[in-house]
Amino acid sequence: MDHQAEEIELIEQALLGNRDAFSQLMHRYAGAVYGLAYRMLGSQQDAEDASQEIFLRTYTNLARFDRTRRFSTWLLSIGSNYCVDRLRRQRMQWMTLDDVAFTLPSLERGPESGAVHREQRELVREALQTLPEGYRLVTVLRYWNDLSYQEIAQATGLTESTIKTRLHRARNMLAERLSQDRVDLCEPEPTIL
Amino acid sequence: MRTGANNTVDEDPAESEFRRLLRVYGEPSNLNPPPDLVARTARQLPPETPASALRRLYIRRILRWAILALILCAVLLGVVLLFATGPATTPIGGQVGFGRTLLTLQLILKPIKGLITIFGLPLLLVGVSASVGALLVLSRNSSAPQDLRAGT
Repeated sequence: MDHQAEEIELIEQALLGNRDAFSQLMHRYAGAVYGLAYRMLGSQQDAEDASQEIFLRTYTNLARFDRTRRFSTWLLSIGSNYCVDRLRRQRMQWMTLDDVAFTLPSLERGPESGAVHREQRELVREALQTLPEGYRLVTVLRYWNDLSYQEIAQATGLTESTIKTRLHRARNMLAERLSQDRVDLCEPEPTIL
Repeated sequence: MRTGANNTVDEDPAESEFRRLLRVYGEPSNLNPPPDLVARTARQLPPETPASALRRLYIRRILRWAILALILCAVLLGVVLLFATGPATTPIGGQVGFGRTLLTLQLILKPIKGLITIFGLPLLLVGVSASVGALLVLSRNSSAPQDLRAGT
C-alpha cells in the first residue's frame, strides 16, 4: 500500500472514531506541525499548545477533508490559520509585565537537535521572528515545510503572485538581517579603558 | 513531505541562493516535538466521531449566537423602555419573573435619567468621579491605622 492510500485508510478509520488511527496520523505530522508552530510563534510553550489545538481542530473537521487534496497541505492550512489567528489575538491583548517577560528571548535550549549549528539556527529563528506574520508564514511553508507555490496558495488563500512577492521580500529581509548578525558576531567586544 | 532537493518545480536562482544561505546556518532543520505531544493530544480528542464532534461544535456556536441575540434584544428593549416618556411599564406584565426585573430596572434607571436631564452628562460624570475619589481617599485614610496595628 503506498503512502497516500495508507493515509486515506487511516483517515477513513479515524472518521469512524478510531483514535489510534488518528494518533498514527499525528505521529506522521507532529514534526511538521510543531515546526510550523514553533517558527511562527517563537516559543516552545506556544508551539506545544498550538500543535495540540491544531490536531484537535483537524480531528473535529476531518469529515470536511477533501480526499483529492494532500492531507499534509490541508493540515498545514489549519495550522497556518491557527498560528496567524493566535498572533493577532496576542497583538490585541494588553501587554502586561508577565507578557513582556514571556516574549523576551528564551535562555533555555530550543528543540533543535545537535549542538554544532544550534547557535546559528537560533539566529535564523530570531531573524524569522522579525518578519511580518504574512511573510513569515509563506517563508516557513516554503523553505521548512517544503510546499510548492500552489500548495502554499491552497493553505493560505493567497494568490501565487502574492506568495512570490512576499517570498522575494522575505528572502531579502532575512538575508540582510542574517548578514547583520554575522557582522555583530565578528566584531570584537569593546574594551573598557 | 517532499525534501528540498526534490522540490525543483518553482526553483529560481534567488531561491537556490537563499537555500544555500540557509544551509550555511544549518537550516532547514527538523525540530523534535516533545515526545509526549501525540499521547497528550490523543487523550484530549473528543470521545465521539469527528462528524459528531463537528455537529456538537455547530450546535454550541448556534446556541451562543442565539443567547447573544437574546441579550441584545433585552438591552434594546430596556433602552426603549427607559427613554419612553410616561410611567415605567413592561409589555409582559410586571408582577413576577422577568417582567418584574425589567420594571425594577426601569425604576432604578429613571432617576438617573432624570439627573442626566437636569445636570447634563459631563457634570454628572465629574460629580460621580469626585465622589468615588473622595470615597477612595477616605477608605485609604481609615485603613492606614489598621495596617499599623497589623504590623505591631
